[in-house]
Amino acid sequence: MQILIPDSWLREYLQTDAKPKDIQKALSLCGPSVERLHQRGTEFIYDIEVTTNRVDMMSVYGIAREAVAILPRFNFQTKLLSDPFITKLSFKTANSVNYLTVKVDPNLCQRFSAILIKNVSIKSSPDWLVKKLELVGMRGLNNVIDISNLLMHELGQPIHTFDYDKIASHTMVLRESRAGELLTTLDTKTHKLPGGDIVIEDGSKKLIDMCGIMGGLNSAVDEHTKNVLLFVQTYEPVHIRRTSMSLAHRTNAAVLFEKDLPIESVLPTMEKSIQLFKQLTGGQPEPITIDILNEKPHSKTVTASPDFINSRLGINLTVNEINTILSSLGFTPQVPWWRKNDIMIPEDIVEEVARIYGYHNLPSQLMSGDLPTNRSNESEFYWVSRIKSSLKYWGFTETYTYSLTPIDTGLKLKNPLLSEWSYLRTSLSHSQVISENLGRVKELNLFEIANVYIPRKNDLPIEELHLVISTTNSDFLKFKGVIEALQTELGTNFQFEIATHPTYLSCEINLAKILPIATGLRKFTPISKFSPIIEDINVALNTKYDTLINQIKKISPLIKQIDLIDKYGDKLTLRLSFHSDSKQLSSEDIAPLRKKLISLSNQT
Amino acid sequence: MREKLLNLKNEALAQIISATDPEELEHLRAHYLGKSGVLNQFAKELPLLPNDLKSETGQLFNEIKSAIADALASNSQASIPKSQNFDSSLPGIRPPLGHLHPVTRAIDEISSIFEKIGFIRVRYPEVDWDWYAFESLNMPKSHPARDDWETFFVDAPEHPKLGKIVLTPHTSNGQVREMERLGQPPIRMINIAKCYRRQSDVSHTPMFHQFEGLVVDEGINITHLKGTINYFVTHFFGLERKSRLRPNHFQFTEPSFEVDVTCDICLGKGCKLCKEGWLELGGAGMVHPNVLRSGKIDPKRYTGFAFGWGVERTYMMKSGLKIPDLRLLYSNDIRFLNQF
Repeated sequence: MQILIPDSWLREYLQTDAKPKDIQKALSLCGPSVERLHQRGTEFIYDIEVTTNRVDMMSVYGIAREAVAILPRFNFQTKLLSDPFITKLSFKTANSVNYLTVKVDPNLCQRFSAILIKNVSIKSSPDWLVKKLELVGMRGLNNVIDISNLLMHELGQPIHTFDYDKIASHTMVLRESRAGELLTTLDTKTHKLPGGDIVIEDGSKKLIDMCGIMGGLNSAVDEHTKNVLLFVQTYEPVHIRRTSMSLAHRTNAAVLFEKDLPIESVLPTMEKSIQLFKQLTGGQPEPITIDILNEKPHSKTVTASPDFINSRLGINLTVNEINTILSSLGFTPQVPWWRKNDIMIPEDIVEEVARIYGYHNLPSQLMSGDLPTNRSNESEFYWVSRIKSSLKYWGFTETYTYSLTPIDTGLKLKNPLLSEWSYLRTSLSHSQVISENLGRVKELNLFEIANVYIPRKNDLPIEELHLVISTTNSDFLKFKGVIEALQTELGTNFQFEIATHPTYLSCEINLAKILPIATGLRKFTPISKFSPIIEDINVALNTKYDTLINQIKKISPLIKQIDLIDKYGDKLTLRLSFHSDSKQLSSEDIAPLRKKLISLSNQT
Repeated sequence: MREKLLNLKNEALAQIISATDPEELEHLRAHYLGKSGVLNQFAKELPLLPNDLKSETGQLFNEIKSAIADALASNSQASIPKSQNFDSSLPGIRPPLGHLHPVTRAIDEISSIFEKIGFIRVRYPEVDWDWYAFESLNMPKSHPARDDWETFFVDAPEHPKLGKIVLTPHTSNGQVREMERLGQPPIRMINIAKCYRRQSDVSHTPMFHQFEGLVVDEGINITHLKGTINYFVTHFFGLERKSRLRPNHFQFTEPSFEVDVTCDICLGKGCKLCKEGWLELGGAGMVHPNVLRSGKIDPKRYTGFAFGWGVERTYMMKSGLKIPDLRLLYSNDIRFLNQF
């Protein structure tokens, strides 16, 4: 969550000798991250990122409350000037009032409070208010709306206002919506509700509020409004998020309500609103606020011993040091009410102590201790890396393509981002990469190693590591040779098949089968003392090359090696090495073999 | 005699290689291999050698004879250019040289840095049960990451215990899986894998890579996390880069940190390209006790830390590597790939 805090507004609550730059640095190290410090004229504005667990900092006062714990650690004299949540209420509360009939589903709304303010005069806000709003990126609209926006920003509690006279029978029923119900919000957008949204209907059964997100247009305050129903609530957070996300309606109020706001801030916010209404609209509040409470006020203790805290920090703080830090954050030692969702376990206390002490003040060291002895199958990574580097040095370039494909593989995504990314792939292919790159370079030689995902019934897909190699060079044997060289490199004669496509050749290999048997071990054969006899023979190829080679090998074990030297039409030149480990062969020794070879080449 | 023969071979081969015309070659042939040539002189001396040397020297003699014959046969042209017109400033003829993808380069560097301090590299599912991706990591059902807007789900029936099938949005699913594999600490894991999230813009691709570190043992504390991160940052980015921890919030760690490194342009002074001198590297934290419990490890006895960072993002933060749009990495434009 992002919030803009003007320095002057912050200093309405905070007295400190820290300069804006100091505040930025200190808060970023120990609290919320101040991403930017903007300067507008003489004013500085902090642009602050607040983590989702700290909705209590999503306001000017919330940041002041945090700063008062942090700044003294950097030797700045700092104190809070006032606490808007410790205030005497000018009104009484009751769970029913004569000016509004209310029915609330207690599971949807933890605190429902509202007050009628009569005879308001709608006009523009005074300059000081408009300026404040403009500093935080909002426009002044009219005094009623501006009060709501101002207080939400200052205290972190959203406020809503209804035109009291537009609420039929002055009756409100707060309930879950039914799927398909229609509601037009203040921004004149009409929403078809998904169902299960928190809404309010009035005495005429029409929906007048999409609670916690945006009010209905039909009950909105306008320039003719005389009587305002001022509305301060907290809502069940999961409902708020679901509605806001599914309607893609992300208002500031929704972002706050979906974080589960504390019930404790409702009445103080109501008090501050009433004062501003009196001051800026001339309105007269009813003496009694309706206040329906569906949740017990907060009271929580979390225990963490100094030993526990120090063992996590890796240093030794005294009990006093720990206490000083925790009290500065409002621990009494009870957990402060504004941290009710955030401080749950002893480790949360560790975090509070550690960050205020300062992570930058902690030492840094590598751990000692035993290493795990139960190794994983790490040789796989070695072989993958070896294949990649071999292919690179054979002129191949590595690609990384998305695992998502438009082709129906039987492994479908429930919520794809684009239709072309609807399925998980079950094989690797370079067809798209090649068609996109054709013409950019003379020749493409590509490879990729990635998992493919083979669907299984009622189980996770099998993840298989595959290799695909492709080339736009049409020389089949040259391409085949690359894969043969890879066989040699991996020390295993795996099976492979080369696919011929109109513009390229490719070969996909299931590495999951090969890597476990890949080996760098080679068999040593003693180097013979005797020289081989080498002869070239010409044969006509009337059969498959590998059949011919097998036939030649069968003639004699003395034929140790056969290399293809030349090929012209169906005429082959083969170089044969005759070799014996036990004696020096002479021309006479191989004469009978030569005869057999001649008869073989005549046969074929 | 053995030495004489070897000298003879070297001399002969040198002469043959530097011979430039057929006449000269023919002359060399007669000199070495002719009837009254040098080699035949040696042949006559062979029988006079003592018996124990005879066969060994005989073999050497045969090898040399055929080496010289081969050299004469193959050398019709000189292999080293001698022509006075030869221009040695012409470009060389290179062996074929392809390119490794930057993500591979990054993964290789990252894993080797962590392996040196005893981390074991593992591989865990990229498509995994909700239990490992979320539930066991202390993420409540209502957590935004678990809804359809942020994470991809496979259209398949749910497992009664382990829940939905998700495309892992982080490598943290390896945490509980590694605890299960080892049964008990010590754990030092580095898990690098593909991850998926439902977003695509200049700084996000729907598929990306993360590396996840996990250390669990007795007495592990924040200072060890700091030490490990400093070690990585100085090895990966260079000694002049510094790191720092700031508070952050994640469900599976408590306390949680944001890790920053100093900007590669200004080295921490602050410039237009960074946030006041620092760049965000990623999240880290002390393993949440509920996560240890999910992995059947006693949080009263053991503590741990974990971090999970984007491979692409981390690599982009290296000096001098500024890619304006992360989606380029997966465009597979050959003109891009050929630059690495």
